[in-house]
Amino acid sequence: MASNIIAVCDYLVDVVEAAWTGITADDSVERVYVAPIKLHEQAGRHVFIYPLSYSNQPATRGHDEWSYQIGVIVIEGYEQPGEPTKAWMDDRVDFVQDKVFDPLDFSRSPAAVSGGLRMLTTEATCDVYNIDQMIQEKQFRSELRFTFTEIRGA
Amino acid sequence: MAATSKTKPSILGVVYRNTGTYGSPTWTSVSMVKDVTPNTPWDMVDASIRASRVKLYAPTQQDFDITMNVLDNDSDAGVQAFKAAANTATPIDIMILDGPMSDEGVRGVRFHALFSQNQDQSIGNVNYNNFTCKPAFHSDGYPKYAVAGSGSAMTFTAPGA
Repeated sequence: MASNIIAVCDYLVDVVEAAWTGITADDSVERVYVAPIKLHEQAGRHVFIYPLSYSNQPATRGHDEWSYQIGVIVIEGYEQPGEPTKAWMDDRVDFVQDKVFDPLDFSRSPAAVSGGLRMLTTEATCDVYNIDQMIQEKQFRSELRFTFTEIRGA
Repeated sequence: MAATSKTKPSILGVVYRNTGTYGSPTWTSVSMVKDVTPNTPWDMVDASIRASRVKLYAPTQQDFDITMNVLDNDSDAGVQAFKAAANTATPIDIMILDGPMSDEGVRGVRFHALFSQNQDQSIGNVNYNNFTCKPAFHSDGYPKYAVAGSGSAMTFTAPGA
């Protein structure tokens, strides 16, 4: 049986893929442990989802409340001459909210991860971009961190 | 087999509802239950006499006052039974034990319970139903203490001497 947190990461991959209309062959969404270092040399936009930590405590006599902390990196290299433009950055910032941050917000619509009763987003933060990556690597890089809670049978 | 000497984690306590008849009960555990507080205080009245300088008391009536919070779930039969009991003010036969009835020696109470309900729907919460259970008049039987014997055989006795 897969661990709960891997099942949750895989579920999040599916959610982002479903939200991401217009995904191209160069783009990707995947669960990883280490994002490829040379990614800025690759074409396309990439969303990496990775497990950080988890904990649990009893919620009922028959169920536990699990808490999962999960990280997401959205990264894309700027392939044109010069520095990334404001419009290019705006598009990526919009993408992060529209296709990642909002779809992974289950605070009002609990997610149905296999094996669990419900999963809620209890905390979500986004570092919009990394200025060093933008200037030195000509790369958009946004880092997100989510906390989800889920009731599961003990 | 005799009862085993061991500590008893509260999480192993069980709230059962009877889905059979009073005389031939089918005890079904309600797994969505979280915390349970069984209060069973006696009313004590003054029974002092001049032979003693210490205040003496005599028990008169006992209350069964059980509180429990239960994770809300629209598809769980136990939760729905409790909510229906609260909504209709119709008592249901429940048994609250400090362990599973398969463990010889666990104890608790059995009675027809009237349910009252409240919920804390604060914005960051998931909904739990906070129930208060009080004994109801019911011609099938009156409140009992319950003790589990061998093979999940329950013995019920009326409170008091």
